[in-house]
Formats: sequence, structure tokens, C-alpha cells
Amino acid sequence: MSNDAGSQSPLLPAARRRGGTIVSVAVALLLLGGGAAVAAGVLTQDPPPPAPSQVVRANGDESPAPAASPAATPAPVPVPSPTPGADSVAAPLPVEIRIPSIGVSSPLITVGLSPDGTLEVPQPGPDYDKAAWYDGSPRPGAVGPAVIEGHVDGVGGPSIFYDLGDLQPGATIEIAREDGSVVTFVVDAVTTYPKDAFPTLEVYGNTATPALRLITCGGDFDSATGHYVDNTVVFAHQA
Amino acid sequence: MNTIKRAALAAPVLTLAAMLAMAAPAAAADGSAQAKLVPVVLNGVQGSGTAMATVKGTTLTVTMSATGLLADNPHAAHIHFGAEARHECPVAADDTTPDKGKINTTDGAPAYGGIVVSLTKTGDTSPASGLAVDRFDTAPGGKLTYERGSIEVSPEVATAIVAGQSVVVIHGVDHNANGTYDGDTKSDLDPTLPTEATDPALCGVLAASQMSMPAGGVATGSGSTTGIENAGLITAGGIALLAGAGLAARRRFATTNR
Repeated sequence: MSNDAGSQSPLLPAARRRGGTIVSVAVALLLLGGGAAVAAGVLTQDPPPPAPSQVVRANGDESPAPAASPAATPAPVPVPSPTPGADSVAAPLPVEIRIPSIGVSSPLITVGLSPDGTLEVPQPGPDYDKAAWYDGSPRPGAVGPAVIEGHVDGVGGPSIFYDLGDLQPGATIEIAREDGSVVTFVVDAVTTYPKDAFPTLEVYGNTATPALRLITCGGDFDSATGHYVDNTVVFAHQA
Repeated sequence: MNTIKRAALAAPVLTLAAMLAMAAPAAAADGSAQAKLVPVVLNGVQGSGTAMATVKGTTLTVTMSATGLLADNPHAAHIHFGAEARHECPVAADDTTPDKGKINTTDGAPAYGGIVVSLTKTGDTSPASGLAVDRFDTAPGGKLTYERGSIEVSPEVATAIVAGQSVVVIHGVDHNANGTYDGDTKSDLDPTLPTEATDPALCGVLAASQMSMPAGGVATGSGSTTGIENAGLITAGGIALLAGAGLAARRRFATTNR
């Protein structure tokens, strides 16, 4: 005891005790704070977006759909449209989408096509978490497939269509329109497609009656490209 | 208004009119049309398919896929149009040629008109290549896939396609199901070919698209809810934990050695 480091210290015993207390407090703070930070970091982690029951692989094979859901994605039915666009102009503009079964309610913004021909998406800012109607597609309620898209997630975590993959066949989707009317659609199928084998005609192809397509991202996230590898698509028809 | 002034005015007006007249055919049409391909009546093919034609001015991009075709044999495929045609696929009543009970190319003409584009995989795409059997898809395994851009057409054809008046036809029917084109009946288009090689198999009217078709899927996610989201917080917390543990150990070490 006499030749330990403490005896050579200029500190008096009381001061040494005080120093020890400070270290103890520091240890406690570090352990508590660090533990809390790790716990918060882990606990506030969002689960990945839900995947729909039906997944189409890149080779075109479909995963077996559960017995409860309708067997297959409705086939696209290209039909003659002698006066293209006539119906779309007649229908009122859509202003809001509501999907009660997954708690979605969002005003609709409008998007067009990017110069590369792909669908524009809501940009970072106040509109990022809103659903968007593609103004090149038929208006909801007019003959043809109206297209509404939304982000699955964003910098703030889950976005408006985060739970789209959980939507079940038979669920209803309501579109409120600028004249106050509401048009209701019924979900036929929810399917995930690889973006590199996206079935353009199946999703955007002509339909004989008013239809709706909801689109968001899904599948694995490719951090190299900064994009999800799949798209989740909801097929619905007017009730 | 004196003549000089009138002439001065007339010149730009005429120039503008001339420019408009020249611009009109070049502009032709922008848009797309799509077809659901179904078996041609009477010909007994059990197949189906889809086709899409995108028109920019007078330049065409065509994608097409079909199943249920005679495997590993050439399938001539065309876009048909005729101003006088019905812009439809043939019906049973169109079976007027001596080769009764089957629809051949002559039977099909009143419904969908003549060839306006040959959907060859390489080289010329004009009607002249309508029977260039060495340049059409051979449907490996009965499956045909086709994609080709930069197909030049006349303004009249471009306009007809966008207006939904053209028809996609895939030819080649193995009536006797022996795995090859044969038989005594010759093609009414080319007597060196059996009629099986040219009889229409699948057909679909290219209907005007109900929307301006987007290219592929959408980029609707940042990935913030996948993988480890709070990496910074977890790392900082971890460092604090290690520092705290290290300090505690040092202090215990110092205490026990005192």
C-alpha cells in the first residue's frame, strides 16, 4: 500500500475519493446512455415493408397463392377504344385516396412521365408522403386502368404505401373526386414483380371497365443502386 | 393596301403554310396501341399472346410475346392494315377460299388488310419481307418473344396504328400436328411453301392505349425501413458502452491494486 501509485499522488484522500466518484458517475452515465442509445436504435427499427402473398419471380414463375385468395392476377384485356380519352376527360379529377383496411388516407397529388419515360414519383418535400395519380392514365371511374403510386418509405421511415403488401383481395379502396363524389374499387390481387421484368402490359394495359392500379416498391433493397428491386402492384376493379 | 405590301405579307404567310404542309406528314402520330393475341377462328391453335406498338412520329417500337405456337419453326408475323379492311380478326364467315374449314391468308385479308410491317428480327421490315422465313422468330419451345425498335413506317401506317386500326397476326399453323409445316395444300402467298407455314395462327387488333404507357416500374422507396436503420445511434451507443465498461474495468483494476 505504501509504494502504490496512490501514495505518490499529490491528491489528498478526500480529493481522491471525489475523483473516484466522478469516474463512477461517468461510468454509470456511459453505460446507461450507451445502453439506452443502442436500445432505442434497435427498438425503433421499422420492420421491412410487408410482402404480398403473390410474388412473381424474374423467370416469370409465381409463388403459390394462399388458398383463400383468388387464384391469379386478372389477365389484361386490351379492348378497342374507339374514342380514346373521351371517358377520362368526362370523369371528375381524383383528389383523395382512402384504404380503410390498412389505415391509408391521403390527398392525391399529380405526377406525369419523366424524360426517360418512367413514372415520376413524389419528390422530397411536403408532398413526399402523399399518394400520386398519374395524369396520363384514365381518371378513376373512367374506363381503363387509373394508376396511383406512393412511396413505401422515405427518410422519416414508413411512407403512405408502406402497408400496401398487406392489402387483401376483396378489400375496398375509395377515391374521392373533386365534385365530392366517391368511387369505390375492390382489390382483385396484390402481386410483387421484379422491376427488371415489370409486366408493363399486365399492369398498364387496357381494361374493358373502370379499373385501378396501386403501385409501390417492395422486395429487397439494393443499397448499391439505392432502389428496391421489386414493385408491389394492387389490381382492383370498380365496385 | 398596295401590291408591294401585299406581296411582302404573302411571302411569309406562304412560307409558313409550306412549312406546316411539310411538317404535317413528318409529325404523323405519337402514341401506342396494344393487342391481346387470340387463336384465329377455325385454325385450332391453342395459344395466346400480347403485343404493343409504340409510335413516335413515323418510327415504331414493337414488343410481342406469345405461347402455344408450333415450336422451332419460323412464324411470320406482321402488322396488317388496309383502308378498306374491317380492322378486325377473321371470323368463320371469312372462310371463302377452296381450302374449306381453315382460314388462310386470302381469307384473312378482308378482315385485317395487307401487310404493312414485317416483324422480322433482323434486316428489312417492309412488306417485301413478309415471307422472309429465315428472319422471323422460330418460337423455341412454342414461345415467341419479340422486341424491335427503329422500324420506319409511312405516315399513313403510323396514324392507322395509333388510331387502333391495325392488326397483329402471327402465322404458322401445324394443322396435322406432326411437328412441321407440310401438306399438299400450298400457300396462296408463295406456292413453294405449304399453307401451314402461312395460315394465321394468332391475331389481335392493336387497340389505342388507354394511357400514355410508362416505361417499366416505379422508384417509390428510399430503403429507410430495410436493413439497419439507426446505424449511427447504435454505433454511438455501442462506443459509449465500451468506454463505460473500459473505465469501470480500469477503476476496478486501480482499486484492487491500491
